[in-house]
Amino acid sequence: MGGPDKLITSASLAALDACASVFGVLTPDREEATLDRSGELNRFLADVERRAFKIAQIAVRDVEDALDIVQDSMLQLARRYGSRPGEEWRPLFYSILRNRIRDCQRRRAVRNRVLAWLPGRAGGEEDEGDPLDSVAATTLAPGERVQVDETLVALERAVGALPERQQQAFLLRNLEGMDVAQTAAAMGCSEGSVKTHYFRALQTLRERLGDFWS
Amino acid sequence: MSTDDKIEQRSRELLQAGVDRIEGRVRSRLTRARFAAVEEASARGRGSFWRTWLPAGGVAAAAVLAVVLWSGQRPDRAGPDASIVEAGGNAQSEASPSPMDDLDLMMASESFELLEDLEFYEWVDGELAEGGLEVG
Repeated sequence: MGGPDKLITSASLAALDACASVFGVLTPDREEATLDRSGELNRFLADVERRAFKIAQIAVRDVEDALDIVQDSMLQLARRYGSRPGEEWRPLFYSILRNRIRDCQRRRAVRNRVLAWLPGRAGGEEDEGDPLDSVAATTLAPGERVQVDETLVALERAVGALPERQQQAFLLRNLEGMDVAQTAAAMGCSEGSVKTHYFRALQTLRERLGDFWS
Repeated sequence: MSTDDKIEQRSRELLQAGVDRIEGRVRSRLTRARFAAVEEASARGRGSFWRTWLPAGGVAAAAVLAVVLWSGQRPDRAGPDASIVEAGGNAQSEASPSPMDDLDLMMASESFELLEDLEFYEWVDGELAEGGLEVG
C-alpha cells in the first residue's frame, strides 16, 4: 500500500510549488537552483573579467571606457543570457563585448568629428592614455620590469593599431585562449575568416615588432 | 620553432603579464560590476514566473472577458424571436438576463448599499411576513 498516499503527497508538493511560484516565494529546491546558477555565473565572470578588460582597454585605449564596456557586457549577459547553459556564456559574452567596443569607438569617432569643428580643437584627437599608466607595481626586478614594460607597451600599441577584426582574432586566440571554432562563434564569422584575420595580424605584428621577438 | 610560433608564445606571455598587473582600483571596479551582474541574474531568476505568466494571464483574462461580453450580446444581434416581438421587446431581458445585466448589477452602487443594510431588510421582511409591521 502507500501508492495513493504517495500520489497525494507528490501532488500536494507540486501544488505547493505552484502556489509558491505564484506568490514569488522560492521553494528550497528552486532557491538552491538559483543559488547554484548565481555561483556559476559569478565564477564565469570572475574568470573572464580581467582579460575582457584588457581586450577592451587595448581596443579603446582608455581605462574608464574599458571599465564601462566590461560592466555593460556583464550586465547584458546576466539579463539576456543568464538562464542559458553555462557553456554558451563565453562566446556570448565576447560577442557582447565586441559590440560594446564598437559602440564606444563609433561614439568617440562622432564626438571627435563634432569637436573638430569647434575652435581650438582642430584635429579633435583626444589625449590617448598610456597603457603604462595602469600598470601596477610588480615583484619583478627593476631592470626586468622595465624591459617587460617596454615590450608590453609596444605590443599593446601594435595590437591596438591592428584593424578591428584582426585585433579581435588575435586577442581572443592569444589572450582568451580560444580555439578557432570558439573565436568564430564569438566574432560571428566563419572559421576560415578567423584564420585569415589571425594570419594577417601575425604578419603585421612580425613586421612592426621584429626586434621584440628575438 | 617558427617565427610565428615565437610571436604567439611571447605575445601570450606578455598579454598575460599585462592582465596580472592590472591595478587594484580597476580590479575593485570589476568585482563590483560582477556582483551587480550576478545580483541582476538572481533577481531575474526569482521573478521569472511573473515575467512569464503575468502577461499571458492578462491576455487570457481579457480574452475570457471578451468572449463573455460577446456571447451576452449575441441574441440581440441575431434578432428577437416572435414571442419577444409580441411582448413589446422587453420580455427578453426580463426572461433571461444577459451577462451584461449581471455586470450592471454588480457595478451598481445600490447593490452595495443593500448589502450594508442587509440585516435591516431581513428584519423588515420578517415583520411584514408576521403582520407586525404595517406598510403605509
